[in-house]
This record gives sequence, C-alpha cells and structure tokens, in this order.
Amino acid sequence: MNLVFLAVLVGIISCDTLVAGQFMLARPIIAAPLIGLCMGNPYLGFLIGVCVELVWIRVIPVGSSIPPDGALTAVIAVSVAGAAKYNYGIDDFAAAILALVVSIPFGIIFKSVEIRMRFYNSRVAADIKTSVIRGFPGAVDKAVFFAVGRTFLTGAVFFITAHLILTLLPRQYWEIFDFLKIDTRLLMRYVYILCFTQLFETFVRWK
Amino acid sequence: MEVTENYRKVLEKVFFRSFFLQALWNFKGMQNAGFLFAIKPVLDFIYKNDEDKKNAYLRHMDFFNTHPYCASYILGCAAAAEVRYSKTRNAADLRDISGVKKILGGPVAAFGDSKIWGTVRPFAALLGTIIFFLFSKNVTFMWAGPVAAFLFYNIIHIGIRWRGIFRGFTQGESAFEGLFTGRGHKSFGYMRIIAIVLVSFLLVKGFMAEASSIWVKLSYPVFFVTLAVFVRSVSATALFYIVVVAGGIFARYCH
Repeated sequence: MNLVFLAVLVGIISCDTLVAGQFMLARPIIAAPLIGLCMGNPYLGFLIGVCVELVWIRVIPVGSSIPPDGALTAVIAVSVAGAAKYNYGIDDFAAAILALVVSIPFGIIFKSVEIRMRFYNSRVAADIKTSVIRGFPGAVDKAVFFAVGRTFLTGAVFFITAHLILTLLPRQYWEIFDFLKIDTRLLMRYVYILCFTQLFETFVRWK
Repeated sequence: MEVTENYRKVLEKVFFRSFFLQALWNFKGMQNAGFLFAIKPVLDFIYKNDEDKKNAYLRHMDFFNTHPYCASYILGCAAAAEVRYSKTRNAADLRDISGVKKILGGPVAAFGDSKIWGTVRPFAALLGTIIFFLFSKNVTFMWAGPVAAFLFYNIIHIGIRWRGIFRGFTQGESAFEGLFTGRGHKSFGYMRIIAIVLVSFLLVKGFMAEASSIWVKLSYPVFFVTLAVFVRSVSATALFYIVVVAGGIFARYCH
C-alpha cells in the first residue's frame, strides 16, 4: 500500500518534470526529501536530493535535448535506500551512495522512454490537426488531458518496476562498504566535493 | 492593446493553460500543440464563425519552440495579434501572428535557457543546499532548504508567466525590451555574483571539515582541483562513478 502511495506521488512528480506546471516539484532537492518523509526518513531524502541536484546541475533541457531524469533517479534511490536501511540496518551514507549507484541507470533508461513518448506525441499532434480540419476543435483539450495521464502512469509504473527490481539486490551488495571497511562519511564528503565542483563550474564558467 | 474586463478573464485562462505548454512536446512541431492549447480561449472568444476558428487553430499548429516560461510573452503578443486581425482582417496583421512566433521564439529561448535554466534554477538549488548544510544537525530545520528553493524559484517562474501574458498583450514586441535590458535582467548578474560567494563559502567550509589525518585534510582541495580540471570534459554521470570508486579507495586506505 505504501508503495502505491509513493507511486502516486512519483506520478505527480513525473508530470511536473515537463508536461504540467514545471513548478520545481520535480527537482531532486524537493522530490527526494518528500519521498524520504513518506518513508519515515527525510534525512536520507535530503542526502540523495542534494547529491542528484548538484552533480547533474549543469545538465539542462535545451532545445530538443532530453537529459536523464534526475527526479526519477532521486526518488528511486530514496525508496531503495530506505528499504535497504530498514532491512539491513546500514548507515544513511552507505545507503545513499549505494542506492545512487544502482538508480542512475534507471534515470538513463527513463530518458529513452521519454524519447518514445515524444515520438508518440508527434502522432497525437498530427491527429489534432486532422480533427480540427474535420471540425472537432476540442481535440487538443482531450489530447493534453491524456498526455498528462499518460505521463503520470508511465512515471508511477516505472517507479514501481525499478523499486521491485532493485530491492532484489542481495544483502552482500548493501553491506559492501562494511565488508571493505570503507569510511562512508569520508566517501560522502568526496561526493559533496563533486557537488560543489559542479556548482562552482555552473556559476563561474557558465556563459 | 488595452486589457478590458472580458480580455482579462480570457488572458487569465491563457495563463493557467500556459502551464501545459509542453504537455504534447514532440519532435516535429515541438510546442505547437501546447501553444494551441494555451491560446485556445482567446481564439474561442474572438472568432464566432467556425471557419475562422478552424483557420486560427491550424495557424497555431505550425512549428514552435521556445523557453516554456518566457513563452508567455509570445503568447500575449500572439493573442494581441489575433485580436487585431479579427478586427481588421488585414493580410499584414495575419502575417504578424506567425511572424511574432517565428521571430521571437529563438531570442526568447536563448534568454530563458541562459537566465532561468542557467542562473535561477542553480541559484534556487544553491539556496536549498546552503540551508541543508547549515542545519545539517537538525532534520526539521533542513526543510527550510527545499521550501526556500521552491518559493524563490516559483516567485520568479510564476511572475514571468503572469507578467509575460499581460505585457505581451498590452505592449506587443516592446515588452521584450524590459525582459532583455531592464532591472530584472541586471538582477541575474547580481544573482551570479552572490552565488559565487556562497559556493566559495561552501567550499571553504568543506575544506575546513574535521579529518582523521593531515592526508585526508589535504585530499579535499586535491579532489576539488582534479575534478575542476575534468568537469568539462567528462560527463557528470561518469564523474560520479569515478568519485565513488576513487573516493572509496582513498577512504579505505588513507583513513
């Protein structure tokens, strides 16, 4: 039931990414803590949200380019990290880093899903034109309504699928930092340094 | 063009619909269907004849792409051009409708990409991040970060959408002069300077962080300089994985 509630929230976040509003609800720094709060661990959401937001801050949707979905990457990472922390009792830093490592490929896969949806939209736009010529002016309203619904469902289903796949990862994966005796707090600092480097690059060298 | 009470109501509908401008973004016409969806209340209001309405709808199904927030200026301009054409039925006014979209789409997109995606969005993220690090020991106060980022971003975002539609409608193409050269434009420059100061503060705070040995302490600036060298030539995703592996090795053997 909790997963369904999270999926509904992720569906809304998916819509905010492009098709409806773009209110920044879909920015990882906001979406990830929200998912973390629903899972009872907002701190994990903050950790992952800040990392995803800043590491990919220079990736912007200019023209027809479609960047990997940062919001979906972050929310998948938070849900999987929360589950791993609950199941195996690992610390927040280890959960956040290990969850990010496996969630990023899903953000990239979702990019190709989005490209397919945009190709499909070309057909919808052509259909709207035909409907207008035939005398059905309301076609565009209906098409926009269905586009929002389609995006909502795609985001929600993709999130549930990714969550279910990633929770199948064995216990050994989540305990790898303990096994290798890696100081996760220090490792997180290096990830933060990458975040600050990206921020620095954005403001100092961006034209 | 003057905004009468009737037009105000119609333009308010355009404002709300402009949030769905990219709902049907596609590789052929890009924002064409979204633009038609947004401007539809104006077309329905001014054209009572079905044939006129159909022609107007088809006009707006032509290729269109620009920055989604700043597009509201073009929506306002195009709406005013449609109103003018509905009154005069002049060929020059008809050309103005698609002309305003074709001519302004590019410059407005360049402005939006650089100022909104390139400055306002990272600045909002920076605000959230600063608060996150300042209150890193209290999860409740941490919420001030996302809330501040959300409010800061949306005051600008919704402001641009709202003003864009009404200014575009009343002032036409001259509305863009304020956008490109006015006080608002200068504030983006100030935002960048403030951001550089804040990022430098975060960096210094990070370098001063407690460490178990002098090697670990030295590794922070070394990591930063190394990443700064490669940040342009290596993708963000690859850099993340490199940092996890290299940082992991360092955290294992030099701690």
